[in-house]
Amino acid sequence: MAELVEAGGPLRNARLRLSAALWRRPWLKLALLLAAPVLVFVVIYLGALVALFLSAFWEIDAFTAQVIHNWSLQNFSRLWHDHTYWRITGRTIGLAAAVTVTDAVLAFPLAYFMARIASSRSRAVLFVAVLLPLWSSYLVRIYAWRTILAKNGALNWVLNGLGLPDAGLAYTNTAMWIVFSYVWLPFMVLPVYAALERIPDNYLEASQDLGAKGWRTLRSVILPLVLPGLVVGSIFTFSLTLGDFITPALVGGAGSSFIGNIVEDQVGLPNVPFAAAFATVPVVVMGIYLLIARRLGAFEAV
Amino acid sequence: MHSQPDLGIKDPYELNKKQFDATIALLKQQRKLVKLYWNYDTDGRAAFANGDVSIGAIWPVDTLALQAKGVPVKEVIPSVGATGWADTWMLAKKAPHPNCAYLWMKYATQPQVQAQQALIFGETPVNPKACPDMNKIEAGSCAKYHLNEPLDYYNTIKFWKTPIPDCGNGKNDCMDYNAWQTAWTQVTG
Repeated sequence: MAELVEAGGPLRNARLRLSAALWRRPWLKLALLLAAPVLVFVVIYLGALVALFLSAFWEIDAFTAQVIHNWSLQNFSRLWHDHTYWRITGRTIGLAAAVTVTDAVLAFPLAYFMARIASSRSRAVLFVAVLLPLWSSYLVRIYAWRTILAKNGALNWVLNGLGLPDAGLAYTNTAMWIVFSYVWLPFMVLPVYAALERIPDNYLEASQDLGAKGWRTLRSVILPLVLPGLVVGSIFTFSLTLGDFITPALVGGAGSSFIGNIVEDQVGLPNVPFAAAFATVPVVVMGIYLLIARRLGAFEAV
Repeated sequence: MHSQPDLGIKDPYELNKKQFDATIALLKQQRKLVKLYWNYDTDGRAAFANGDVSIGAIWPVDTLALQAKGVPVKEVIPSVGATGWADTWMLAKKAPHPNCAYLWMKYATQPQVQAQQALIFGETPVNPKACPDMNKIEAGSCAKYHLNEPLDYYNTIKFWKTPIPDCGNGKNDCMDYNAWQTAWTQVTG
């Protein structure tokens, strides 16, 4: 035994000692493993959030637009008292909720077909079809939608060909709803698919054996088991819509501004403190949303 | 200035509270008529090209681009007059190479360069000597872009100036740029 250890030389000895030390102190192993990601998380992610939150309490000089490190609640009071910002916040949250519901309704049947009915071959084809839009840039797809919805665009061309009048969707909130629902759909399909795929077949058989018809099985067995997947998908669709400013800028019209557009405007003015104050609103909304999601079990099953 | 002369607006960039509020009220009322407030000039251009809007304010360079694509558009000055924008070359106080900057400005203001730049962007050059060079590139363009107009003509255009409390009439009760920005968000947001 002693001969074997010596044969490995000093390097091997050191390695053995290190591994023994780590084995004796599991906390050290854990700390070494987690140091890098925790550092990145705390410094880059939380650090940026804290910097954002702190600058929301500063002011700018009205003439030179320089940031003055004067602590006050002025920016928040302006947000609170001007109903414009309430209207914009309401529009942003409302549309994010509408997009989430739309994507859930669209994604469920598709994911169900992919997970439980389709052959493995057509499942692969469907997977590619769902993911294919993600291969092209998000910006390109939004510009494509603008061309489709325009007055001289493809949609009206088809409608007019069928003898129908123009849809008149260009530069409206409806256009934003369609485009958002389209761009975020894959993010809803995938978690719902994962949740559906993991339901054991014998649960459904048991439900049938107990006399449940299809609708009852769906309501009492499938939906409760898929709910965490739906909630995870909704976190994606809701938060991605909530923070977007490109779709409203490109397909929205007069009165389509999102929180993100106002933040962009204010950064450009430049009034970074006010932008920071308004940017804390979606952070708070998402915080509440994630608390509700946890209640619904989104972080347990998937 | 024209529809409500009682307000006594002399300059669109010098508005006291009453004049300002009346202007914003009118803009809010007109929001129903507006398809979009474009963010990038190419968005305004696309709206014309796709037939989504039939009248609106875009940059001259966009008019030229649209006309080049065969979109039937034309520029007009409304009967109530027009606002204008003058681009400015400026030299930073602590610029590391001021001589280079002067050489550049000298180059950029010579007649031939001014003529080329004016015709690419569809704007009036600042150097009146550019007139023959403009006509050489595009016949009649000197008159088309109003370079041969007398000074009176330029006085009819309300060139942009940043709104400040100073009203230009000895009073200090005009709405500043921040107030304009806030109100604009209320109109468009």
